[in-house]
Amino acid sequence: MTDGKILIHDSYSQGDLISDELKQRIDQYLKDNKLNQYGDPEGTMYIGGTPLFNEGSGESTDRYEHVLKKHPQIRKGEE
Amino acid sequence: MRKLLILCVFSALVINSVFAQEEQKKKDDGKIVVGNSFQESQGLLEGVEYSGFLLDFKNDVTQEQMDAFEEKHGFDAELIPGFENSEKFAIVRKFQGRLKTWLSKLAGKDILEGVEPNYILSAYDQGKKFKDPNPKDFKDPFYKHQWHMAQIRLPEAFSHNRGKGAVVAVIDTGVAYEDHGRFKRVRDLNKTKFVKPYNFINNTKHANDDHGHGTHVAGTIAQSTNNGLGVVGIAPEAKIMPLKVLDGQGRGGIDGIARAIRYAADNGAQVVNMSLGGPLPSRILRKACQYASKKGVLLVCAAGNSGGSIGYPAKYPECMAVSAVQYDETLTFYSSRGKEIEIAAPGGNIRVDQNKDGYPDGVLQNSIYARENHKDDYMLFMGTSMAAPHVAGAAALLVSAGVTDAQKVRKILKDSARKTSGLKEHYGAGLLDAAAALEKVLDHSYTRLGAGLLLGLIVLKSNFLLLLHPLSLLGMGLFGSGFFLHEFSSTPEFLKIFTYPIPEWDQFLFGADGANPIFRSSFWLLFLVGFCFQLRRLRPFMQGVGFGLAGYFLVSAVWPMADLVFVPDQFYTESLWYLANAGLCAFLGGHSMKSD
Repeated sequence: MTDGKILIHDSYSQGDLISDELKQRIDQYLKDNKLNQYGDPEGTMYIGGTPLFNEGSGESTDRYEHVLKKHPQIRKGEE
Repeated sequence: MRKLLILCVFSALVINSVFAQEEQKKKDDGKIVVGNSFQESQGLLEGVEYSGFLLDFKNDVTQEQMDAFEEKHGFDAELIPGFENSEKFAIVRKFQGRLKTWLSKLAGKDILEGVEPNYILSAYDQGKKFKDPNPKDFKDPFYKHQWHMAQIRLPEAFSHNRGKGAVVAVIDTGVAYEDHGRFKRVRDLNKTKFVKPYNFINNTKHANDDHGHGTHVAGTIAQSTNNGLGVVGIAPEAKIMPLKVLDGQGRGGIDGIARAIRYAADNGAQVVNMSLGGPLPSRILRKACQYASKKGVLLVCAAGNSGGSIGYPAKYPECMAVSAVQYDETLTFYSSRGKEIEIAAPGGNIRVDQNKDGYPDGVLQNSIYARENHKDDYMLFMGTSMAAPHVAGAAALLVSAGVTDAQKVRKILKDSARKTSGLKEHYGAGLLDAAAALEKVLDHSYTRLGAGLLLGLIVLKSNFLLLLHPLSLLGMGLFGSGFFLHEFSSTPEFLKIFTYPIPEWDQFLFGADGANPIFRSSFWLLFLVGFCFQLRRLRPFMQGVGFGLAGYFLVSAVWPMADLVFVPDQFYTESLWYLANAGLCAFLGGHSMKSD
């Protein structure tokens, strides 16, 4: 049924599981610091409309992982 | 033994040198590049796309045992409904650690009967309604991999128009359009023309690309074509206005984007491409879009790559939101969707090779390397960022064909789109079809000629046969429909102007910024009357000009495709202008032979 030669991305499932508690902490941090959902200042625009999708590599990133990478202090509980 | 060793080393050096030369040769000609991180990681299960893994638990396993097993191995599994009575199948969408390690941990566990990838199956050939690229259509060697150009029927459109006179602003990361400092113009934009670049990041006139995105987008719109290099663009004779608003990381502020939109509108762009966006609305951005739209600029925007709701500015009604389809003409997994989607265009999917050309199905254009901006190659990208410039390029073709009213361009693109059975929220009006869009415009040549002949029949009645005089037909052709009804790919450059009726020659003289009301009036006929009424032999010509113009104006009154400058577009004033001129031309045409 599948005729196409289809390529796969190795890092598809490498993401860490982020607890609901940490997700709440991330969202609260964004709100407190007036950042957009990607951890950047409000009003930031991106190629393709989102920083979570790489149009060159085809990679997708989880939003919470993306924010944690930009703001690692959230994981440690720092403000 | 020593001789053998020396021989081996020598052979290795020779072979290495041959490969190095071959590699250098390939480099010089340009090569196709898939995003590095993707290329490095592909190959684990090459040839198969999957979405998670399917676990087959033994039938006597309890829920508690399954929960404990999941916790131990760091994953969440959902039981697949419908098999409860006979089987215990579960799907795992996410797990901790690397794939190979995780799979090796599961191997041989008593609780499981088997593990397999959840393969994604599709029957893509059933829906596809376009012919694969024919390498003979263009002289550009990598065109055969540009399935996306075939999908929008570019070869058929190319025989009609190539975008001359249109200006498309690319609001993006800049464009590799000039040799300036460490920046170089990419090889396959060598014939493309650029106007009024501006860098809104550092406020200079050098909108050089330090990312690669903007150059790729500009290439889709106006890559130099039939130049024996690389790939093709949709409207290679259009001019690109490079406006840099995003930095080397692909990010930028709303202020710069809003300024760029206004700059494009004030500096002669008829089409603006914005393959960018953000999650939040902005009053400043909205006002800039309204400003440009009021000035008659078509704003084409990528819907976004979130797979969810549409971002801004695409969501604004002033903008034409474009979703992305892949080779099989289905919506891509990443494309944003919603009621604001107006049209779908190829955005590609580099995770698949459905056309089996040996390369992932991305959109292929010439661009620079992100880390080495002076180097360029042919890059396969995917995204709604790639879909939007297909629409902007097609819009440039329409502008060049004389449709200078942005809303008319928008309507024609939607009306001519190939209908799909899919959701409107996914495809809008359908799939972009550049050839069908142009054919909708060019069909007017025949309509105008027919309208002219019909008016002649009504006015001349029994003297209708006078219209068939060769000079009369010449006048009708030149002024009513265009002397040549079609432009073919073999039509020499200097003859192309004769595929347009003389009232539309203003766009060759003044650019495609709007229609000149003097050109599009009975001025021509009045001029001829004054100039050669005494020349009896030219009267059939005047008669033909009269009815040709009358037909042209009548069709323009019903279907006004160009904005008349200085004539307000309210209360049908443009249509009334055309109708009044049609009446006057028909009257003068009818009386031009009467003194005989």
